[in-house]
Amino acid sequence: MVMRITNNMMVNNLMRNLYRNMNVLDETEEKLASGRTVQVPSDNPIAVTNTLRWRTNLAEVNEYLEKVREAGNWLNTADSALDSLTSILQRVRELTVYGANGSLAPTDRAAIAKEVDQLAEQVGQIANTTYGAKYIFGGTNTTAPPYDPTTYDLSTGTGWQGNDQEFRLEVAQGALLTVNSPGSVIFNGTGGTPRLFKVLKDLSDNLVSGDTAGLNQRLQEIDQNIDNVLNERAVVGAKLNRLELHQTRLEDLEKNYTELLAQSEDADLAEVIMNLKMQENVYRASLAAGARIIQPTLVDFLR
Amino acid sequence: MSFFGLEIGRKAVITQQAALNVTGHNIANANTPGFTRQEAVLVATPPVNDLTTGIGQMGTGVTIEQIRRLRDNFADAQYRKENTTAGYWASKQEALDKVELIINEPSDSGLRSVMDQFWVSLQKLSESPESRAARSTVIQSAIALAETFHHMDKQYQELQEDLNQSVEVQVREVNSLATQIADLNQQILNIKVSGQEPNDLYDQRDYLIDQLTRLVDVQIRVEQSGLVNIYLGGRVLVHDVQAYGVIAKRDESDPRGFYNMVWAVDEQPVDLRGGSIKGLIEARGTWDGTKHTGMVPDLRQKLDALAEAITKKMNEVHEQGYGLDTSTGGVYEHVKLFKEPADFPGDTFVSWASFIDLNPAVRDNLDKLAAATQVETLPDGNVRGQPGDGSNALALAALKHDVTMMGNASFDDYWRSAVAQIGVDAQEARRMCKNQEVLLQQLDNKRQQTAGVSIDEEMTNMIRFQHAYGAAARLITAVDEMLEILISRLGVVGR
Repeated sequence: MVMRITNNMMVNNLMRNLYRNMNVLDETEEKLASGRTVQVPSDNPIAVTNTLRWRTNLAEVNEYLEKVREAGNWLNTADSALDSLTSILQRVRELTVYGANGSLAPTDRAAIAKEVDQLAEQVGQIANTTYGAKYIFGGTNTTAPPYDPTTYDLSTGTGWQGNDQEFRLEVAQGALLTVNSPGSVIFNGTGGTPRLFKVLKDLSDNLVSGDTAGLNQRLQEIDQNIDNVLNERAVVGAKLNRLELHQTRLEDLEKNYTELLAQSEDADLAEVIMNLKMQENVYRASLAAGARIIQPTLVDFLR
Repeated sequence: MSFFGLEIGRKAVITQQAALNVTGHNIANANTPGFTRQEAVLVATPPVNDLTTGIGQMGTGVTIEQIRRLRDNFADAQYRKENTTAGYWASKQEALDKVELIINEPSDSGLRSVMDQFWVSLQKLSESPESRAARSTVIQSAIALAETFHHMDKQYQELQEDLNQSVEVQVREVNSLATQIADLNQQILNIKVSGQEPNDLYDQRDYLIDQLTRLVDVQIRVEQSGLVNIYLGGRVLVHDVQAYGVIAKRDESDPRGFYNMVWAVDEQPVDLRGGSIKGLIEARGTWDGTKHTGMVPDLRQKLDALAEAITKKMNEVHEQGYGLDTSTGGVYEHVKLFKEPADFPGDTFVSWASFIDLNPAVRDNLDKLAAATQVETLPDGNVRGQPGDGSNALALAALKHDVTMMGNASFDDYWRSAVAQIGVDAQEARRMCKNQEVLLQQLDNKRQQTAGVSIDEEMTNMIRFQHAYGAAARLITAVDEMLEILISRLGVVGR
């Protein structure tokens, strides 16, 4: 049996098809305008879940990267401070050896003692090195200068404002890196090395008084301190290496997450534009077909 | 020879003209919604025995037996059944569309983004615990987090109100349709008793029934008398000329006072099994005596669970730490990061998502933010957190990755799965809606195949009836001329 087709059926079908084509066009245009394939979760629930995950991960990785840089800056500051400290101690050592020479006149020794005093002052400044507004050798007491020559007690070490606490940064999930070098070990002798400030003060006194035996004793103590500082520097260096490893890994992750994010939410422009063109043609065709279908009825041919 | 021929001509002219009028009526209503094409059923009038010629039965012409409505009742039943399902899914889809707008994911301003910023701010705090800037950032992002919860919760509430209003409006519509159908039954009855077919009234009634099936699932029974009885959830909605009203009544026990659909007579709940009202009610949620259940209430509960877990778990860790403020009398006062209802009995508590907020003690005093776990003893014997110690901030930030926060998921996982669930539900609703619309279109086409007006067909009929009319008129002229011969020209002999 031939299906009975009425004019309204054709009009309705045409309208529905036009709506459908327009809807598809609208969707494609939205993709093109926003540059994203998914606008709402129902467009693709799985892709949206992934998108949310990658975005969160990306925010996190960026934060870790920033902290790696922060930790790097911190360690570099410590490293250069320890570097200056090493050169100062080397100079002190030279002066000590020179001063132990019995043929020196008391005035010469007094001059050397002056230089040592000045170097001791520099050591004090290094102990108060800051990164940003933080005193890096003060343990977790970062707001007060650890070394204050007016209150510092040379013989007991009391008056050292810093503590022994470690300051740790999370540079990757669960990976904690201690970024501060223990100032009290380096400057205040808590690790067993002779207290640096006391050694320098004694050295200066020994030079003034010409106590050769004392000077030899000091030489030993200075060597111990140099060892101690070099040891700390080695630790800082090792940490910087570890940090670099983290940085490379994080940068890789950042790249991966960015790519994954792009894959799950970015529209392929070439494809979208091609689809848009195709859909435009379909829409035009359906309009043209409509113009043909709707118009003529028998009325048009009756006279 | 008699006037018999004239009679045949008269009948023919009248009949063809009436058939032409039916055609005209069809053309006039070609675009009327719900109109059913009509057809004049032509039959030959009973013959007579022709005694003059003796050849037996002789035809006596034509008449219209009835004007028939051409309608496919089976397609109607199918259409109405699918219309109910379409109504149900359309309601759900509309609600889910709004839900998707509310959750606002994926975007840079959704809850995920705000939570990310909050975690980052805690990491920053662990990096510079002594910095006031880092402390302010934590405070501000915690406020942003709380505000996002409030905003979403409020929008969900508004959506529920909107849906509730729609329930009321649609119940009223059901009532109005039922009344109109009963009225039409009355008019149809009046006309039927005089032995006529009230075709156009049938059309109106069918159109109303179509609309009714979108709203609720009804059983339609067409009685022998031509009247229609309608049953809703096992009870009578329309019986003969009587409509039994339904009303939207506020549930007294429900704190939100949502509408229920009940029978006007005894206020018993209507047993809904489909249709857009059921969809609306399911999306809005119903009060089961202790809580609301349904689509939006479930989403709100998820939001509440997240807000509650964030509040409590963060507080647990925060209360372990020390801020930059000093203790009094050697006793350090630990504080919570977020408000908890128990500590603020003056504040009304409705839901966690609307309650979550920074503890005012922390908000108004940056030093109260407990970034440290180590204490510093001051010369006067009082303690405070070490300014450079960010380990408690780190512990707070670490909660992000803790998969025990929401039962067996992290905060982030929980939110992601909630979003995915909405996505899947909305996708299903969208697909069902689309399928139902296609199905409805096909069924409607099927109905139109029988009931629709085809202009071509009507034009053809018009010409057919026009010609027949002309021919019948010609017949009358011929008979007239024959009679002329008989009366005027016969028997002139002797004149």
